[in-house]
Amino acid sequence: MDATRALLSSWSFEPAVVIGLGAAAGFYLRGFAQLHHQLPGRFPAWRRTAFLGGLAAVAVALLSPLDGLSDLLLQAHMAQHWLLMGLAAPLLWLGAPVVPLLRGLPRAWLRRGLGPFLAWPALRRALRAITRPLPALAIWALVTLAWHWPAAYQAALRDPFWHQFEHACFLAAALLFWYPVIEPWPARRKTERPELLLYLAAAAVFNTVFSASFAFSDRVFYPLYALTPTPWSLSPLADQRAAGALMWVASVPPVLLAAVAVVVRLLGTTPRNRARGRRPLAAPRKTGNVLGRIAARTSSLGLRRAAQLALFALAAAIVLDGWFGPQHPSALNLAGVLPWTYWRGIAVIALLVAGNLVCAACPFTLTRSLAARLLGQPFAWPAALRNKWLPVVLFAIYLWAYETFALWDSPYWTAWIIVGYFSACFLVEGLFPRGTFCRHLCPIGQFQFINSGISPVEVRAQDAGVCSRCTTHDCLRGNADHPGCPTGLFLPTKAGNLDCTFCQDCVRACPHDNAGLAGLAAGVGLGNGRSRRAPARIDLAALSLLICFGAFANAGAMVQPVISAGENLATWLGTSAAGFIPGLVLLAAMTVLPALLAPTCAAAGRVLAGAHGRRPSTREIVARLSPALVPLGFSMWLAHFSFHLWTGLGTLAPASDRALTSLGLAAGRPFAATPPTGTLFPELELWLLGAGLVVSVAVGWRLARSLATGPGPALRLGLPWAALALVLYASGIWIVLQPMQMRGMVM
Amino acid sequence: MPPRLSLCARWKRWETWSGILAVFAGLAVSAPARGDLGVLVADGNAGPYRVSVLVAPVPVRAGPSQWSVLVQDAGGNPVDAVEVSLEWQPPDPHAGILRVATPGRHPFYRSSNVMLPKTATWRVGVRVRGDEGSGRLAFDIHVAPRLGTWRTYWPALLVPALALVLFLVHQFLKLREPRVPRSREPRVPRSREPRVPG
Repeated sequence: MDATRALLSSWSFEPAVVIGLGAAAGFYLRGFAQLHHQLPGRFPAWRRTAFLGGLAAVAVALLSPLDGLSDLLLQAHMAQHWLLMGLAAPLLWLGAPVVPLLRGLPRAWLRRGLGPFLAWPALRRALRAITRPLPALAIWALVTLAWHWPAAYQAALRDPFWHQFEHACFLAAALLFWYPVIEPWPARRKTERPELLLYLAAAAVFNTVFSASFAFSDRVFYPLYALTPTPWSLSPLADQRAAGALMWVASVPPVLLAAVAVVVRLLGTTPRNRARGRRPLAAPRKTGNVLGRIAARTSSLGLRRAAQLALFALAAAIVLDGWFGPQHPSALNLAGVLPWTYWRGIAVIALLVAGNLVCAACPFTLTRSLAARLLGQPFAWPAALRNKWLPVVLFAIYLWAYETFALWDSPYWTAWIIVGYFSACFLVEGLFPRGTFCRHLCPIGQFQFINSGISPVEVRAQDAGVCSRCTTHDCLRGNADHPGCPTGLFLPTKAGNLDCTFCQDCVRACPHDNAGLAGLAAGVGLGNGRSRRAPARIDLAALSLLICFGAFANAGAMVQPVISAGENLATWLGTSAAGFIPGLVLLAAMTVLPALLAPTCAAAGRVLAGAHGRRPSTREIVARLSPALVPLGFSMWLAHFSFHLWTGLGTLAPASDRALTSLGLAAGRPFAATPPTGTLFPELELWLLGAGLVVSVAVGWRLARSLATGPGPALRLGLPWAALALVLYASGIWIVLQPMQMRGMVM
Repeated sequence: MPPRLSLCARWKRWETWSGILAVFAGLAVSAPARGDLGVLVADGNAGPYRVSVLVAPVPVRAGPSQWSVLVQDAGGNPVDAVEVSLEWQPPDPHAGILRVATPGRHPFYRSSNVMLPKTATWRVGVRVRGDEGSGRLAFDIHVAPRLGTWRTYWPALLVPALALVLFLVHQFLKLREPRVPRSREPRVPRSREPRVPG
């Protein structure tokens, strides 16, 4: 075997390591760019090189073939540990990373997220204590010894989790060890320099004794290596001795270099260094808004129209295939694959990553202008229907029909639903103004609007001062060149993403160039309604609860125990009811259950909170706190649809091939049924549900604080809702761990 | 207003950011099997080759496992130009699983992830095809019962609990923070929503 080829093909791209290193590099470079401009003396370019070098050393240790070789050879494993402890750690500290990393973080994360922890006196005291030389040296030595204990070491060799934890411990211990030596700015000088020589000498003695025990022992410390076949004729004892020698030799240069640096500093040429700190500060440099630049590109009407046209063409293909293509198996029909497997999965992922892009590219609204011109929009939508009650009913019907009539398995009816959707949109948009279909009818739109409350971006005004001086309000009314907001949102008072289709008409219409995409913390937009300072709406609460409970009911309806229970119930009731039982149970689970549980939680919270200060009504609590469950519901939708997308990912090729063959555009080839491989699920689903629970609790706490007079009453007010979220989370865990019906697959 | 960038410069920035994102997304998605090697479960000859099979985690349980194979020639040198396929056969003859092992994290080894669905004594076959010929090594392995849900997925269940504790500490610390008096800077007047028909 070509050894070079074998080594080059053995790079592993562990997602956690790759993403962690990428994020660290990104935040550091962002912060460093500003600091280098402001304090060039304190942050010269070599510090950036050192930090990136440290990250590169971590990458080589954890991602390169060295990581794979470490399971085969002890000496490779020791080289890996040396890279982490002897090279990466000092290089990272030489990059003076504390301030650049903090400056590189988004300001809201730093102030609201990390701020309280950074200012926590107990944490600061603990950090001060362990970064003193004696504790640092002791912890470093203990961690090194503990992980080289045969039982611990071999456990790490056997289990990837403990292996990664071992590496994390080594890197943390090494960072602790090197901290007193390098004392990266802005650390205050705590150590008298001569003492550092003793510190380094102690470390060198420890290294010598430790390495010598490996190099001169006649006993194999780690018998697991003897059981692993290797392509080299190297005995485990020889490998162990080589590892000891490597540790011995490799540990000397970093310590020696550090000692030389300490001595040089003691002999010190400090006046120049001191002068550096007195340079006047340069003005901070603006880094520019990345989201703004993205907005400038995505707000292009041409791009949006192109996406809409592409989806329109796809919809046409789905309709034609649904009508005229084979009905069984449905996964061989485009109408059975694209809407139910692909579109839903991609839509929820896009929602999480970039906001309501599905609405921006919605093909149903492509003919909106044509409809308005042909039909003239002569009517006003009835005032009684200008809320979300009709969408609540339509969304419930949609989920019920999906399960009762197995729409995912019926290409014919899927095609008719799409045609009906286009017709309804054309008619409603032609007869009524201001995005009536999107705001008051479209169930898909409501799903997107409610769930986009947790998306990381929103369209908003950049400067409130500019808006307050604006007299034309083109973002809402439009002008001669560009239409205003199609759903009637006014940017200066708009809150979150409710009713926002991300069409960015407002961005194009604003004559002051004051609108665009902006970052948003997850869940901040929830519970606000369409505009700030608006009262909480019970119709929005009902929609939020329906979408949340619908997520669990919809996913639960496809797991085996629920299907069996439905069949047993149908048998007990009589065969005539068999087809309707699952749909009715689903309907009850997503409507009756929340209608009972939400007021119960609100009433319980009201009683618990007591009569301190203003006491909100049960209705107000339901209206205000229900949106807190949206993140949990969204995580269930995401887990559910991602599962379908993953398991059905291979179905597009045979379905497209079949459709092209029927048109005579492809030769037609037999397809192979490809069952899903890999171990991504259900673990990913559990992670998603966990994240949803955490965000739900955080949003619930924020909303409860806004209702109650103090933290105590807010806690008691929110407790029943937290319990409800926990119950939903537990039911989600149960659902994802059950055997699931494989829908939309060719198996 | 910031100076406008030339189209070329804007494209380059856009392209750079997209490229970085795409690389990270690609790396995250294309992550190969990450299990450690585990322990040797079979070692023998398959035609002209010597084949060693390792599996992790040990003991093998129903659920996901990673299988690694080292193929050597008679002289003990690792052989590259071979196709290695693994087949797991439970007592039920219709439920066999077949996988082709590919180069993974460990140099010279080929590996494959598999989800063994049930507890049984499985017959494992390793087929090696290369220039020097082909051969098969077969052996039996007992697959122990699956670990309980909590023991299998404890990190995914523990981390949300830890995150909630961290959130509680965060909020507790925020509540202890002294209140900062409001800024005396003049406030921007609020915009009033204009009335639009419809």
